Amino acid sequence: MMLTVNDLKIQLEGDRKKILQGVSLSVGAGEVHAIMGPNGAGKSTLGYVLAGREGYEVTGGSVDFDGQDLLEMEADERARAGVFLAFQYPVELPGVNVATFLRTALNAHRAARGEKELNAVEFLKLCRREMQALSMPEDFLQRSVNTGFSGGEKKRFEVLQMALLEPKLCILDETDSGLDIDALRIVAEGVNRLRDAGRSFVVITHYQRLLEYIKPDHVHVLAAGRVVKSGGPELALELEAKGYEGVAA
Amino acid sequence: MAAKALTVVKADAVPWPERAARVLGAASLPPLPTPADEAFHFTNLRPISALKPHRDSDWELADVAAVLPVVDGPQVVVVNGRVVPQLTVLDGLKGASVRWDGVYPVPEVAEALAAYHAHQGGQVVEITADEGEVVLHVIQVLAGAQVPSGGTLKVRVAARAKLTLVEHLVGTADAAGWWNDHVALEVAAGGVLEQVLVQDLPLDAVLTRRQGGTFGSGAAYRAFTLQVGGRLARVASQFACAEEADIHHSGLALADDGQTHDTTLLLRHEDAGTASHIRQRNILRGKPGGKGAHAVFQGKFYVAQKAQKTDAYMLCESLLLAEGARVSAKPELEIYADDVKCSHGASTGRLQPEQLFYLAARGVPQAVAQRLLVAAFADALLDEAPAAAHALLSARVSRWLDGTPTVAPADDTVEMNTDWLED
Ligand SMILES: Nc1ncnc2c1ncn2[C@@H]1O[C@H](COP(=O)(O)OP(=O)(O)O)[C@@H](O)[C@H]1O
Ligand SMILES: [Mg+2]
Repeated sequence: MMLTVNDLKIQLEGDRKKILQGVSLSVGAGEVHAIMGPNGAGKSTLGYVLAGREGYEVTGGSVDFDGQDLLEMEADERARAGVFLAFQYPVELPGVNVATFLRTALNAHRAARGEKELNAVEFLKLCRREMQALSMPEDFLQRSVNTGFSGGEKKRFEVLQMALLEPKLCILDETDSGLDIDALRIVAEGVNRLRDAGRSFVVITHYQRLLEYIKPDHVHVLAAGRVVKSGGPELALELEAKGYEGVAA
Repeated sequence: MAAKALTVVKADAVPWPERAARVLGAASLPPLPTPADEAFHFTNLRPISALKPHRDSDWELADVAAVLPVVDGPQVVVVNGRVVPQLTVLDGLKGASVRWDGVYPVPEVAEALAAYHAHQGGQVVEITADEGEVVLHVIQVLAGAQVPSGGTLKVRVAARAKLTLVEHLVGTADAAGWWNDHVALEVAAGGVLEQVLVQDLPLDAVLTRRQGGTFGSGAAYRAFTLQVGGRLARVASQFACAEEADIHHSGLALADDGQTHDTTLLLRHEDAGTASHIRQRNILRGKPGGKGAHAVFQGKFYVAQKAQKTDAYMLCESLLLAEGARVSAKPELEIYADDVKCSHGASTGRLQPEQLFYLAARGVPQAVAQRLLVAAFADALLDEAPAAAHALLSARVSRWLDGTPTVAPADDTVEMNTDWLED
């Protein structure tokens, strides 16, 4: 298994609010799992906890990633080990230019693998190729990370980072939200290009729409911090027809 | 033990100003300002009175040469307030002149720092830019333990001239003096002055600089001050702008544990249509449990009644990277005209956990992530530096960011310094 989440219980560090109340999930190599659910179900929390964000307390359960105890690792270690979270709300870094940011991230990954750093020319070559595939203009590299980006630009930038860092596990948190149909297609194609036998995806989405482009192997419904139903791709359609209430009941 | 206690009593018996007056050959000198004086409310000059007044200007050429920054083009080297001709290069200086034969007149001055300055015996270095574009470096070196030390820089820019003056303040490895100098700027109508100051003194040194400037009609002044060194470093400026004068003053202070960097500015808008943009950024670093770093920013706009259409803003932003770091920001407005745009703002913050997490989620180790965010904070200001000095400022900032936090001497070790009694 690429990822095994076993009975994971999470509460907020501050007010001890319980958010995940025993979530289990097994994602095999090369598989695509969709996680759907109403607002406030805990979907983003699951993504954040897997990526190592602070502020959560693990009150039970475990997470195994590719044979390692994920919860014992720092966020940056997890990323270098191959976990990638495409943020629902990418964070602005005013004054940090996109090229510097991408090169720093890429070189951190390369250093961890014992590879030499990319020089500016090698980096640009690699970057341009991926940016073209995502229909991103070259002057994008000179902008400040996520600063003044439109919703679509932010999501495209998340996918660009994913393509460059070549993770093993990609967690996409509502990467479809706020996208028009053309942008959605570009982003979905970007994701599909990355699909291969050694790479797994957890696609968090609110709507079934994205799953027409990124075909999942399994669909899980998360509601009030629990997986209330799991099934094949047909479950997404059922959700669309009956709503979360109807399915979870 | 008993003998030592007796020594301390004796130390307090002779007031510091009196000791300094003896050394400088002055009849008397006023007491140094204290936090009871409004202008020094946030900046305590106590470290000065822990230094031993000392006049001899013995220094070794090799010690000075070792700390001179390497710069291209015309340059004046001043050590302890006196020009060193053998290190000064004026070949290729066109459209401008430099002289240092003037003697500072000793006036009756009430202001304490000016009174000390008048008796220090520093030279007056006069820089006059007459025409064309001129770039000149002035390298000021504090050598040994001169207390107080420093001369006067008189800068004049004529109507058709643009002068880029890049000043480097450095000290020899053992420098632990008090540098107290004065800079007088005068830019004629239509002239342009770019003034860059790189304050890179050793951590034991104290700096008190007073700057005065008058800017004629339509004159432009672009200043960039980078403060890195010094245990206590204050640059206090008072500028007066005539009609349509345009002022941009940017300051970046990089302070570690035990350092205080003070930027004090008074802008007098005397006539209509002037603009002044003041931006200060402070980055305060330190070790856990350290003494903390301190940044002081005092900015004041005075707008005379006839100074209509004044467009003035000041912004002081500080980034606190350690517990115990603190900022004292005091913006003031005194406005007598009614059709003006004046604003001020101050913000103090820390690195955002959300930003650090975003970088961590991309595999960037924490130290690298912090460096990236702090550099971005500094870069935004460096973009405003005069082009001729951008590379050198940026290199100095990078070196500070890469360096491990340095620690200035603790107050108590200095307070116990009574070796002046052995004279
Ligand atoms: N940092 C936080 N502070 C307060 N409440 C939070 C925080 N993070 C999550 N929550 C709450 O936890 C629940 C789950 O949130 P989230 O994981 O963002 O849900 P989803 O992504 O499914 O919409 C919501 O009720 C949300 O308000
Ligand atoms: Mg969410």
